[in-house]
This record gives sequence, C-alpha cells and structure tokens, in this order.
Amino acid sequence: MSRNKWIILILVLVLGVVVLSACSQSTPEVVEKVVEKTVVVTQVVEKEVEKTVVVTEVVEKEVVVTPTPQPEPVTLRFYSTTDIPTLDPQIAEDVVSINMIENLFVHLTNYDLETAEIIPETATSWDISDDGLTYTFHLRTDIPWVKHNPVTGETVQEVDADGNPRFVTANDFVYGIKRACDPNLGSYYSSIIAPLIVGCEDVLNAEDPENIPQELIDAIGVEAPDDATLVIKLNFPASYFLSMTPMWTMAAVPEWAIDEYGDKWIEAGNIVTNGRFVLNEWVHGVRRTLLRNPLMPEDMYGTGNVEKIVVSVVPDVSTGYALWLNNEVETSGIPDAELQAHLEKYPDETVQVPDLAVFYFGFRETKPPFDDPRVRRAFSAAFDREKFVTEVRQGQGLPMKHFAPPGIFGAPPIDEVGVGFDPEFAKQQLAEAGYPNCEGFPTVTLLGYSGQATLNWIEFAQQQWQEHLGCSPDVIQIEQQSFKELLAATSAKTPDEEAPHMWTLGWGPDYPDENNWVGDVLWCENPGNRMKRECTEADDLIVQAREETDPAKRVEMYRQIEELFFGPEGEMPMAPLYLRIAYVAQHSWLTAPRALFGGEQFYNWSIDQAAQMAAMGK
Amino acid sequence: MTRYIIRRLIVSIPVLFAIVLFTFAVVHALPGGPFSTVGEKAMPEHIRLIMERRYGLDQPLYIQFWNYLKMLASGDLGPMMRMPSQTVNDIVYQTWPVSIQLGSLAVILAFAIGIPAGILAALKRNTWIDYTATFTAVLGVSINNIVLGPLLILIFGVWLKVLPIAFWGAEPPWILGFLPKPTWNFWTHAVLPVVTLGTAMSASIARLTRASLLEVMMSDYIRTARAKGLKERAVIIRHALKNSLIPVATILGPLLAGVLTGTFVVEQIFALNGMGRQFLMSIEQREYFLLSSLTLIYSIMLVLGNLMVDIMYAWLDPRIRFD
Repeated sequence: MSRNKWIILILVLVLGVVVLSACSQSTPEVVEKVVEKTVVVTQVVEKEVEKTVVVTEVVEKEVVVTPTPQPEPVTLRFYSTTDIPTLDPQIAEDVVSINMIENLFVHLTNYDLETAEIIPETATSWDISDDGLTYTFHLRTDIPWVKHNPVTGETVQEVDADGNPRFVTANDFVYGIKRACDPNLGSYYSSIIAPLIVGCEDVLNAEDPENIPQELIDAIGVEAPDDATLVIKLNFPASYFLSMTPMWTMAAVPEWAIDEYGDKWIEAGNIVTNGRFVLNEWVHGVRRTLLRNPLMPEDMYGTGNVEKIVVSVVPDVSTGYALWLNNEVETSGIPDAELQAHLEKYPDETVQVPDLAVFYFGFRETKPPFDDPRVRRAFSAAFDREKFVTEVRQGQGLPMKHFAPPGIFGAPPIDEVGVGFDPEFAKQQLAEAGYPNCEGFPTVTLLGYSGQATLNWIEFAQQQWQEHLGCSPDVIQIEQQSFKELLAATSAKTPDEEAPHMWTLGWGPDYPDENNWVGDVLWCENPGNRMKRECTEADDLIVQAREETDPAKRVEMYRQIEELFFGPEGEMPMAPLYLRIAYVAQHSWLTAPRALFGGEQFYNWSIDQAAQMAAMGK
Repeated sequence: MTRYIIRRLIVSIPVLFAIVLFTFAVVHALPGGPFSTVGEKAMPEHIRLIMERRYGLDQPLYIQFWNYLKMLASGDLGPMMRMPSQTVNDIVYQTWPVSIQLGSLAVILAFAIGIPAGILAALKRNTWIDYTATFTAVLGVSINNIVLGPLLILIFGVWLKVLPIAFWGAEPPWILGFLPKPTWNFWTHAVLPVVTLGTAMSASIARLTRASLLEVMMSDYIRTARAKGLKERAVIIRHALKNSLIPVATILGPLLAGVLTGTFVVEQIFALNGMGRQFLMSIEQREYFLLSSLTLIYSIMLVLGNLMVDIMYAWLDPRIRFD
C-alpha cells in the first residue's frame, strides 16, 4: 500500500508546485519600459533599417545608467467580447477584426467621420470615365510597408530581394483585389464586390475552385499601369462603387509575407502592415496591443493623440462595465439591468452610438395568409414602434417606417415614406383581407432568434396584434431558435410548410448606399430572397437606380422604391421596426468620433491624459 | 495494482471512442454549419460549399469521423475552421493550463475548508458550531457562482478596490507546459475566481464529510475502539476519519475532471481564457474539431479521475482490494 501513498503524495505535490513556487518574484515592469523606449528611438532613426541594431545597444546602456521611466504613452483601453477572428483584410467580416484592420492597414479611400463622404487615403484623387465603367485612382507612394518586432519593440521598413525599401504601390492593391475574388478564401465580402468588378465573379464562381485557370485571374479588371495608378473596370456603371472603396476587402496586402507564412501571416511578429498602428502583441483570447507606427508619413497621423491601444477580451458585459466603473477601460457597453441607474448617475459619461442596423419582421410572401399584401400591411401597421423603443428597448433606438436609415445615400428622411404605426389603417386592411377583428384568422408562426431581448420583442408584438388587430395570442405562435437555425428555417430553399410565416432579423450595411438595402436584401433576384418575392415594378427600378449616374435622380428613384414597398399601397415584404442605437459608457477624458462604416478610426481618437491618470490615481 | 490500472485503462478506450463518436454525431446533427452564417448574415451558398469541401465536411459522416481519428492518432486535434491562423492544439495549449490552474487551486481551497469544517460540525453536533457550519454550507451550496462572482467583483474590485476585477494573472508560455509564472500579479488575480469556484465545492464537501463522519461514528468498530480504551482523539483520527472520507473521495473524481477542464461560468464572469469558454464557443460556432477534441479531453480526465478515486479507496479502506 505504501506505493499508493506515494502516488497520491506525488499528485498532491504537483498541484502544490503552483503554491510553493510563489517565493520567486520577477520584475516585468522594467522589461516593458525597455520595449517602449526602443520604439521611440526607432522613430528617430526612421527608415535607415541597417542601423537599428546599433540603436538597440544604446537603449540597453540607457536602462543601466538612467532608471527614470519614460512618460506613459497616451493609452486607449477598451475590450471586445471575443478574440479577433482574423487580421486578414480580405477575409475579415466582423466588427472586432475590422476595427483592428482599419488601424493596421491603410485603405484605398477613407470615410469622413462627419459626412460619411469618401475622402482620400492611399488614393489622393480619382477619375471616373464618362461611361461610368472605369475608375482610375492616383495613389501616393510614400507609405512604407513595415514589420514590428514584438520582442525588441522595433518597427522597421520591409525591403525587397534587392534590398530596396518597400512602399505601398498600385500593384499591392491589384494583388489584394484579385485575392478578394478568390473563392478559396471563403470570404463573405468577396460576394459583395464580385458582381461589380469585371471578371471577379467568374473567378469567384469558377467551376473547379482548386484549379482556377490563370487566364480567368488575369482577366479580372484591375490593373496597375504604374506604381501610382490603379485602374478598376466595372461590369456596369455602378454609381455606388466609390462608396465601397474604403472597404477592407479592397485593401492592399503584402504578397511576399502571405507567401512566406501562409495562414499564419497575421500573427504578431509575422504580420507586415502599412497603417497608422502596428501590432505589438496578440495574446489569443486575452489581449492585443497596438502601438503607433513611427514610420508613417506625418500627414497621415490622424487628428487623435492615442499612442497605444490595449484591447482585452471580456466576454461578459457586466464585467466590462465593472472595469469601466473602476476606470480600467475608457468605454464599455452597459448591461440592461444597469441602464437606468447608469443614465441617472452618469449622464455626462454616456454616448449614443448608432450602428445603422435596422431590425424588422420578415414575411413569407408565398405562405397564406401572408400571401395577401393587406395582411402584411395590417401586421406592420399594428405595431407601435414608438412605444416599443421606449418600453422594450429602453430608448435605445429610433422607430423606422421604411428600410434604409439616415446616413445611407438615397435613404428618404426618417419620418417620410412608409405607413409606420397606424392602428386604424391596420384594422381596415385586415378586414378587407377577409378577417375583420381577426375573425377566422388561421394560426401563424413568428420565429425569433434566441435571447431574452428577442423574447421581449416578440411578446410585445403578440400584445400589439391583440390590442390593435384583435388577434388572440393563441393565433400567433411564437418560437425561438438559434440564429443559425433561424437562417436555415427562413432560407428561400426551405419549403413553405416548414418555414415560419414571420421572423425577426436585422440588416447592417456593408457600404453606405441604398443599393445595399433594397438591392442586396429585397431585390427579387437575390439568391437570399427570404421573403420569396415575385419580381415587380420595384425590382426594375432597383436595377435602373444602381446604374443611374445622376445622384439627384437616384435619390428620387430610391424614394419611389421605398414607397412601392412600404407606402399605403405598398407590397410590405417586411415590417421595418427600429434603428438600433446603443447607449455606451464613455469616460469624459476620451473624445471618440465614431465611424458609421468600416472600422473605428482610433487614429482620430483623443485622450486627456492628465484627467485619465488622475482618475486612475496616478 | 499495476495490472488493475492497466486493465482499467484498456477498458476505457472503447468508452472514450463511444463518447467521441456520439459527440461527433450530435454536433454534426445541429442545424447550420461553421460556414452557414457570417455574423448576422448568411454566407453565400457557393462559398459555403467550397469551405465545407476544404475541411472535408462534404464527405459522409463516417469518413469524416475516420479522418478525424487518423488526425488524433498523429497528435493533431484538428484545424480551427473560422480562425485559420490557429489550430485546436493552439487553443488547447492556450486555455487548458488556465483551467487546470484555476481548478486545482479551487479544489485545494475547497478541501482545505470543507473537510475541517465538516469534521468540526460532526464532532460538535447540535452545538452552535455545527449550526454555523451547516448554515454556511447550505448558503455556499445555494449561492450560485453566477451570483457570487459578480458580488465579489463588486465588493472587492469596485468598492474596496483591493483585488483585480478580471483576467488571469498568467499567460503562455507556461512553465512545464501548464504551470503559471508565480508572480504577485498571478496570485492577486487568482483570489476572486478561486474563491468563487472553491466556495460552492467546499460547502458540498463539508456537508458530505459531516454526514459521513456522523454515520461512521455510530458504527460497531468505533464502539470497539472506544471499548478498548483508546483516546477519543485516536478513535477519530485513526479509525473514523479515514473511512468517513470514502464518499468524499467518490465525488473527487468527477469534481476534478469537471473543474480541471474548465468552468464556463467563472471563466465568463472573470474574463479568463479557459477551456470552459471554448466549449460554449465551439458549439455556437460549430467548430466541430474543437468541440470533439474538448469532449475527448474531458472524457479522458473523467476516466483518470475515477481511476484515481478507485486507487484512493484502497488506501482509505484496507478491506478493498483490486487484485
């Protein structure tokens, strides 16, 4: 038996090593400061790559001689609820990734934060041919490709095989855009740009994706006549193309680094970037740290003063909010349960952030009784959006009568076009459809995705339809399923018998143009067509509007389209309900102009460091 | 004994196989796949098909399973389909040590509090000590981690500001592959999560120890021991205590397997990058390889935990023999 005692003793000892080894203390702070110093010195050296080794020696000496710390860099701290899925511009499809990519890479053009207009970034100017089919971008060629060494803290410019420093050129964009057409990347955004660019769709839909013929790739309509000129050819005169050029999907990427590291090229230490920040650290699932790129041309610095960004992964908003209360992060979401208390206690440290996502009930147009537009109009008009936003959303939203929200080119003013909430109209429409006071109305299903918030939403709908249409809650069966299940159940391929009559969904824009709303969601020829719409006059207009070059005419056409969908005589394929606006806790020392499109531009954010330090007790 | 252990390990292989097969089948039966959605949007059909083909998801399930077993045999736990720069091995290396560290500290705490409290309550039965211990234990069992965690954060993190609110104080690379660098930072960060996780466990251990010790104290051989004229102290420590720990040892196996492979709630509340959180994420994102591999690890830990319990039985009760 004594042997067994030994086994147990050893087990206990192994567990105890953690406890016993407590005595040895390391001093990580010194190391961190060394790293920060090296970055500053590299800035002085600038582009002279070969000299950086010498510089490191100087820093080491300095640490020995003078222990006085450098001033703290201006640091922006916040959290995301997940790790970054990817830092690859062509693959990214989520906010967390895109926020990082916006700051690590320059894009072809940029969104102006105030006007949502397209402004120069790498492209300083552009010409559009008279037929609207050829876009010529004139690029600046002084943006270096850089690699940051997380261990030494050095940021150095990349050099090519001959030892020449590498700058961003039109060829890097050609490579990036052609790469975006490659179906093997598995990128959602490929399908957004592919229909526009000549030849891109042929590659994306190639019969044998593993052996795409080189001719097809060469035929993609992107060219670089010289380093400073990028030419993109379109399939049709898509007047909204320019609004897509700030997208991460079309960013330049370093071909040589991707070839060298494969899927791992985005990891810290491997990644080659060209943006205002560099990736200093990426502890997966825990934290990533960005530092200013010291080699960036000065005029591209941005209007902000943030020098360092620390983003932690905090999956639970309540914990994130506790960190905010403790001044450990600059900004945080607010848990629903805390919202009212927060608004009372910190009115000056609350900002409203719209993300331009509009939520709606979709109707299956082929499934009776919702095959009758009058029934659809009745259900839409019987939902009090104002009351819903106030009571259920606690004020976090704006009621919507039509689909596209303000801020989108071509969207009608928010209070114009569309019936919205009108109980009298609703009753009358339902009666005309043969169900006065909901008599004889068959049992229908409303499918929501999982979560308490959605449950509150669909229960509110049930009450509204009882109050304004007289439909008993027994008639409206509510169900909840996970998001993936809901998408499968409402897919156009699902037979009507298995599909719900109505469902909850939301749409957030990919680019700021009405085509991304009525064209990419409602258009009858979309492969997505969840409502199973038949093509109508509205669909002809959608096709015309996307090719119209006169902006004023386009605005008018989109107004007509929205009217054809959501007006009193409208088809009503969905009931638009509200535009999401989130309350966000934000400390007063942070000035953070938010981006409605693309990633957040942290280079335009500023921090009053004295106030921040005072709050932290430093 | 060695033969017994080897026999047990061999017998457990088909069990593990069945568990992995079952998990594999169930997770594939869930509607939607890893590539069916993109955030709040649906993935275009042809891209979904290409990606599914890349990971062999278009093959019949039995072939996929066979391929997965072949991967496992070569030590590869599989790719991360939605995070291609990572593999399942990477994720396990990053997260499992955090769960092991948190779990073992919590178990140590739970036993350090639970067993003395249980003994004390049993020996001082029906005194204020017993009532206090029992009351605290009931409280500890009933207060869920989901309540206790945020409460501790609020008191010690936000109000008193003496302990960190969130995060684990150690990160890869690990010492010996799973141990943290034992810095001050590590210990301060460990306090709240370990207390949160350990409290509920210590409460159930205390209750179990108390009940079991009371039962043993009334048995014949204790009466004999006393009749021999042994001191009460010797009766309790030499004769009663060891036997009364058998039920406690029984729960130790599953308990260890459970906490050492991650506890979702505590990891979520304290923003710890542990394996419990990966379980949930893998189900939500349909990361088939990750989920199957995590289940496999959990099953192995369960088998080992129960084996350890059986070995402890033999030590605690000399009448139990396995040969």
